[in-house]
Amino acid sequence: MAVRNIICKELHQMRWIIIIGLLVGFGLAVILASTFGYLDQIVEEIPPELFELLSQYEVTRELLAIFGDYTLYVWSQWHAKNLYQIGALFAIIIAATQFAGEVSRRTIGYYLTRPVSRREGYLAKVASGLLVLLIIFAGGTLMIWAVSAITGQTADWGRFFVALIISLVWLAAYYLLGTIISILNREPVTAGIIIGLSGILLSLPGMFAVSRPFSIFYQMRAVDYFIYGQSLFPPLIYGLILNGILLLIGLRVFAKKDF
Amino acid sequence: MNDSCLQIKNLGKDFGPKTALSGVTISLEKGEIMGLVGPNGAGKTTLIKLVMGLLHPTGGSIQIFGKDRNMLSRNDWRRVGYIADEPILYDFMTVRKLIDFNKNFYPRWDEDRCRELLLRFHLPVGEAIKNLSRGMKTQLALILALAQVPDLLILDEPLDGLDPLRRLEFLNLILEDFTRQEGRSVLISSHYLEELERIADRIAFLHEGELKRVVPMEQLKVEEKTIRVVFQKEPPAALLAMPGIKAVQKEGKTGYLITIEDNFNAIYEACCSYPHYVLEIYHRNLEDMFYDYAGRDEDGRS
Repeated sequence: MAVRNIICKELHQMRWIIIIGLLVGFGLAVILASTFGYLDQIVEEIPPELFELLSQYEVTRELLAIFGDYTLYVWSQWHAKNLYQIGALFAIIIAATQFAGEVSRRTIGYYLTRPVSRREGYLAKVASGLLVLLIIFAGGTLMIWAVSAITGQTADWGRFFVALIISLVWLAAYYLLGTIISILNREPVTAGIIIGLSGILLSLPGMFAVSRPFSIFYQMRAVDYFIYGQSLFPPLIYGLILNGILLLIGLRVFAKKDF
Repeated sequence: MNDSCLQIKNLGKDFGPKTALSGVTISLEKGEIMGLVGPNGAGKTTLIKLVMGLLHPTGGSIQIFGKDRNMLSRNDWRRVGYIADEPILYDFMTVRKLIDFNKNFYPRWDEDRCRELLLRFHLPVGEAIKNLSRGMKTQLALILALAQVPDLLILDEPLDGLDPLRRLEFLNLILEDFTRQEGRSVLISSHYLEELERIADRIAFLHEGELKRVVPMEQLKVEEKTIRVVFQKEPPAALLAMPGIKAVQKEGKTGYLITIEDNFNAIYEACCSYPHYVLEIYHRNLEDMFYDYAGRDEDGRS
């Protein structure tokens, strides 16, 4: 009851983030799903000799493949682009405002003196933050599916939604890291900048083939599962383990912190 | 059987190299109102934040309702009401929304009392918290704390920023509620010594993180006095060293200002029995005691 009460309060407090997130998600989903027809037409109108020439280069070969396959196209634009970029941005905003924001608004004293333990206080906030990310990105994904159905496009939706689970698990890990940074800072802007900088650091392994699997953002795209056809379990299990570790660290940091 | 509502033993708190609180031992009995006074930086807010769990102690222990504060259950915490030094509430909520949010935590919530107090303070329930004045926010914080029907009420400088009329109203409400619920204990820190004198059973003086003294108000009224006496000749040293004499200040050749904190009648009779020209009694109040500990250089506000 107490935790549910806090989750309701958090969702109320983040209502504008949810509304803006859904608008952005819906907007992107509509643009993404409705523009494929034009891009597909462009690819079809490419003269065969030019098509052959473009197929010789990896970058253009990939683009031609993406524009020629709707499943590949929606994944490349959603999981591999918008979801992890905008997802990371929302994760930063939510994490920074939830903890450092509560301190800077000086409501943390009121919050922590309700009859809930620190553990419940942290978990309720984290549950709300994750719920908001889920609402925004599940909402956007469902919108892609709906617009695709309206425009008559078909894709491998099963694989698409499974890949979304992998993406959200890794996005959750980045958000949880953000909550730890946010607890340790008193200003949401400072917390947001540090979370952003940590994101840049975490993206560095993704620049090299050998270290790519260690990048949160690489995993967020679900490339191994979606493109290379590998099992969904390794990225899912590793992601969940990382989430568990970060959650435990977050709980400990929040419990020990003086406010 | 331990009747303490709050028991603090040897409590300490360091912030890095700075000691904010050191070796504080206080016990708040069931049904008692204790005032916490001291100048700025004395450690009052630190002490209260430690009790409420917002800070972690460096040493010592805190027991609430006879249990270690870290072992308190949710139901135990439901019996503790708290108003912070600043009435910072959720600005994005309306008064009604905040009340609803708050009452869901407390099964003993007294909705009738809440409604009655809202009417009494003329608080608009539909108004956003951000539009309320500081005084209204403090009143709302008090309503929230009282409507949860706490057994222990902890108030950190609740009178700050209230005009005299609101201060009076606030204290009257605390007293009124105190008498309604048997066994309720209140710990209140404040700079408004006159007001504290009116409601507190005991006063605890904190200075530079240390507890200087805990004095019952009854003792303050009856025993704490200053005698100004001009003897006809130098009195015996034993008279000026009687138990209960806190300070002796010489005035002129045979004049003395004797500050008494206990054993007033015996000291007074001893002074009377020795030949003197003048003998006057000054009643001391909380403010005098405050200055004794905080020093006259303070501006009277802690």
